[in-house]
Amino acid sequence: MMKRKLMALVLCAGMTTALFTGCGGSTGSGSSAADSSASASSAAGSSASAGSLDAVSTTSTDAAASGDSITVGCVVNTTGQMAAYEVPAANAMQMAVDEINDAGGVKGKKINLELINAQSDASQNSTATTKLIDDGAPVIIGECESTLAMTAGSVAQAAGVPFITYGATLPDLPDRVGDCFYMTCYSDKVQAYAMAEYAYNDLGARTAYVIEDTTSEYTEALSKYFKEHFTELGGSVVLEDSYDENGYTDYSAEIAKVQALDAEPDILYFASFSDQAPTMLSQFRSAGLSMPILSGDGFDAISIAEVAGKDANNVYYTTHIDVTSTDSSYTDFVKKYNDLYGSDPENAFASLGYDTVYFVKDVLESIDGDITKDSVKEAIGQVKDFKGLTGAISFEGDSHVPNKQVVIQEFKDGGVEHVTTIQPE
Amino acid sequence: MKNKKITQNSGFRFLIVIAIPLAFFIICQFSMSAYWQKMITLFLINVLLCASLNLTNGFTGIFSMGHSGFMAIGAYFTTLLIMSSADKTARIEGIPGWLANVHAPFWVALLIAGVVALGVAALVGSLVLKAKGDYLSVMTLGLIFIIKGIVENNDSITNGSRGLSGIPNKLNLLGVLVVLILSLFILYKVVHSSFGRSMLAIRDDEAAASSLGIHAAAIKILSFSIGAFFGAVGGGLWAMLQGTISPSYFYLNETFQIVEMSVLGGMYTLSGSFYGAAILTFLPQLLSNLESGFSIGPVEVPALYGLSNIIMSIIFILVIMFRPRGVSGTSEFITDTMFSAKTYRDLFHRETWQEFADIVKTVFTKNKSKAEVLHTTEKKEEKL
Amino acid sequence: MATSEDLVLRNVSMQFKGVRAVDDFNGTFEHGKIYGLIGTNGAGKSTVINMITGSIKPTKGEILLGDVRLDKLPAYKIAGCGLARTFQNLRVFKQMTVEENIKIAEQMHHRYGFFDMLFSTGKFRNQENAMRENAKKYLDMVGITRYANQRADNLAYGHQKMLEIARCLATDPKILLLDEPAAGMNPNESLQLVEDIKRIHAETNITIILVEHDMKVVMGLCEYIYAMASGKIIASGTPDEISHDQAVIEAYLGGERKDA
Repeated sequence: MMKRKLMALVLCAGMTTALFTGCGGSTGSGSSAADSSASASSAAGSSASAGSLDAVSTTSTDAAASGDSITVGCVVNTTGQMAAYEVPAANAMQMAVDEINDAGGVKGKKINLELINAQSDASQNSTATTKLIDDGAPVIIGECESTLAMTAGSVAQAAGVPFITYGATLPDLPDRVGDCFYMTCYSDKVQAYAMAEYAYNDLGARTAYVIEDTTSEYTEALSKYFKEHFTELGGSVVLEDSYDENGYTDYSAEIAKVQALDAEPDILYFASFSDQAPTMLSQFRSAGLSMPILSGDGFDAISIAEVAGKDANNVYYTTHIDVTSTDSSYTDFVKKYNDLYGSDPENAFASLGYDTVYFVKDVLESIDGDITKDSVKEAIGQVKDFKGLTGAISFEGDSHVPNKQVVIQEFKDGGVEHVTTIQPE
Repeated sequence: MKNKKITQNSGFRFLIVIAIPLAFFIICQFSMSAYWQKMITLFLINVLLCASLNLTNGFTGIFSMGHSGFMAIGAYFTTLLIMSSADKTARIEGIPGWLANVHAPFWVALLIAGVVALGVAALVGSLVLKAKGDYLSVMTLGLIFIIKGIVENNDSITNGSRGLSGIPNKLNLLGVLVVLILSLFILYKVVHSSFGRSMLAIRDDEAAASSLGIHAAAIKILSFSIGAFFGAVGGGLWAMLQGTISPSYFYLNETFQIVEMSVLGGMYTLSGSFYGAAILTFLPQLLSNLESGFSIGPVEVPALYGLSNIIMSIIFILVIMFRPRGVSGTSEFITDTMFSAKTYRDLFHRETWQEFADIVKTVFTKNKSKAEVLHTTEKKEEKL
Repeated sequence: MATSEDLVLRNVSMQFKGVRAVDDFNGTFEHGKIYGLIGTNGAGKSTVINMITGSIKPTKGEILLGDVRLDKLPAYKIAGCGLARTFQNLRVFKQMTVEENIKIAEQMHHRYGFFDMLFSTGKFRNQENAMRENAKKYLDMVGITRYANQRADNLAYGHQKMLEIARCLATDPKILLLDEPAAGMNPNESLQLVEDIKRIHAETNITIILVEHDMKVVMGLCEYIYAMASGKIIASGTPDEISHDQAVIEAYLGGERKDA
């Protein structure tokens, strides 16, 4: 009896506290911890939050009455599988909104960033988007993973609400979801093409070995478009391999195949994720294969250089922003993020999210009449001169994918160096 | 004593299990926000997924962890049958003509999806159900990997890891409710029949059951297959609700979620699925609101990412420790009320309602008399 | 002389790794008689029962019921041929009620299909009612009707044993195998057990094979006895013959002839 009561008590306590916040209204349940300084515990369970999260905000974004504010919906996955990628983005987006509001907001109105954490769960991404639409958001930002972007974007599409992803990079996402769907990051086609060009033109590579992780559409796309453009330019893919396990660790078969070739391929394009990298690099380098190894923005993780050390030298990857830039706009951003959250932005998604919020600000400001989902949708295609930390964002013609710069970086002696920035035609 | 009586009163049971929830669902369908409609529909689908798993795990004692594999079968078969030909051709590169053109009304699609899953379960079951205990569970887990692999490697049929979006939703909340009730009815009938008794006997003591003429292997396969059938129906309903599916949506996390629902709610009963689904549909979302920090009165609680995971884990541990049979324990309060003829027969008897009125009266008079006692003692103290 | 309802074991052996638990057992169990199977612990008695009922398969030899080879059938099919058994370590369905325990056994003879179950057809309702009535009958037969709705493991040990027997009878068997039914009983209870089994035998006229240590029970009931030691039959015959058999006396009765 006691035990039953104890259990009931705990459940009630949990639900009651949840209700206090849940019922706190539609406009502010997710907005930043106002006026509090705290060091958050690192996430437990299945999530992997990057860095500590000292949420000290300089202003309080109160849940204002909707007459004086514009709601911008934001679906994030700050816990669960996507946490490591999305927490910096969520932080930076909140930072951007606070900056904009401090500077007077949009046309005198404050932006109310309604952030909902969908815990990297498919059902929750769908219901979260529905809630944002119910709450009247005329535009929704979110997602850095393509499948979840498809889920959330489809819900927005069905309701006619424009959905902007800052980090999902599959090229045909807008085609699959619909005309309300926009990307403010470049597509995998763009980055793979850019790397192919760099390999051919700058590294002088004529032969390539491509390894592809087939468990993900993202890596399959990178591989496909790299091969496509590399051969278009005149190179040839002399060897191809693929694997379809998560956590693949034994590359001896692949290494043996390379060594069996008459001539070592000029470069290796490794379409995979950062967690695979250190193992692969150490095995290949130990086998004496020192050719340049190339990859996509999945390699944008300083941990690779830190863990692999010298093995990571001569490794190049495409990404969205030059982290070594001395441009004041970037260094200010980094400093401010550091002040607020206790560390430098952990990945490029922070900058992408930040840019997207400012892009949306430009969009909202360009609207003459009422701000509705329809007027926002129309305005998105009209904003032509936005330039953010990650480059210029604009949509030409019918395209919902921007023609953005591709930054190429390399790992050097445990750190990162900028190589070049390519602006595709 | 009185409490016990009221829970046996058919009038009370009818109101609390059937009439009031039904009224709530109807109200939700017609005048609540899209968000709540989605959440309630999701809850109903989760009840079905959980109940179908309970048949296998709780009633028969086969601790299957492969349920999201059957969900996947259900989702993909349903989707490919209800999507328009034009949509399929546009979205799936290289789709064979016959597949693009095949089409069926949603209920036929759900049935077909269920039958396919049933067949797969029967086949796999006949190979795998000879194993015992933990080995069996691990093998059922393997089913998930196999199905995911099949979906991912047959792009011209399933669109592979790209997933499918734009799935039409043919059923609103009330439609899903109808499917759920029909399914639960069938499950209820199975449980209250020779098949159900045999499943319980096998779970209790397989050797003794065999010595009484029960073909244990066949009953286990039957139970596994029926569970798979309804798991697939649940998967099909889920696909329609979500609008987008992908092989990664039917993997380890999802199967664990259903198992959690099953264990928390009470896997030895069908009614338990209601409790488990309620907890796991609503609590995580409510709790995630807490994570960005909130205030109770003067107290500021800061942002604590992952708090909801911690709380869910604690709840899970507490339940396992103090109520290992789950919230429902051995009680089939909900499904018994819904499906036993007695409930409905009793509604026509005056005594039922008389009894109900009496009990309600005594509850109020009890409170009243308590209040009177307090009042008189206060008065006495005043006088003193 | 063997009829279709006689159980015959021919040259039956059970070889475990390195141990021959049963060595060349030959025996006939005629329909309608009560047999005893005695021996010290480890003599192989339970193994013989397990082989007959199909829990294990003999490594050599044949077990026949009439001309049906039981040793080639799975346990559940052997039960369907009319063999029922109790277990040495008591295997009632603990989590089910007493009545449900009997109903499980009844299912063998009260079948219906999925369609009947789904639509509560006449057949379904009739069979379920019949099972309920019969359950009462069998519970009456062993005297535990008043516990019908109790969980089986709430019953006293002795009552659970009777439940197991009632459960066996509910399958309407031709042959009933009892594995140490008197285990854990005091002398009064054993006496009662003997009476009960006699009564059951009189009412049903089934073959009963009794594995037992308690010599009072064995002598009181059995018409014919097989005595085993180390897997072999060392003697077989009427109770009188057995109690005078020298080999049995040495191996089992402790060297001196004891009055039965």
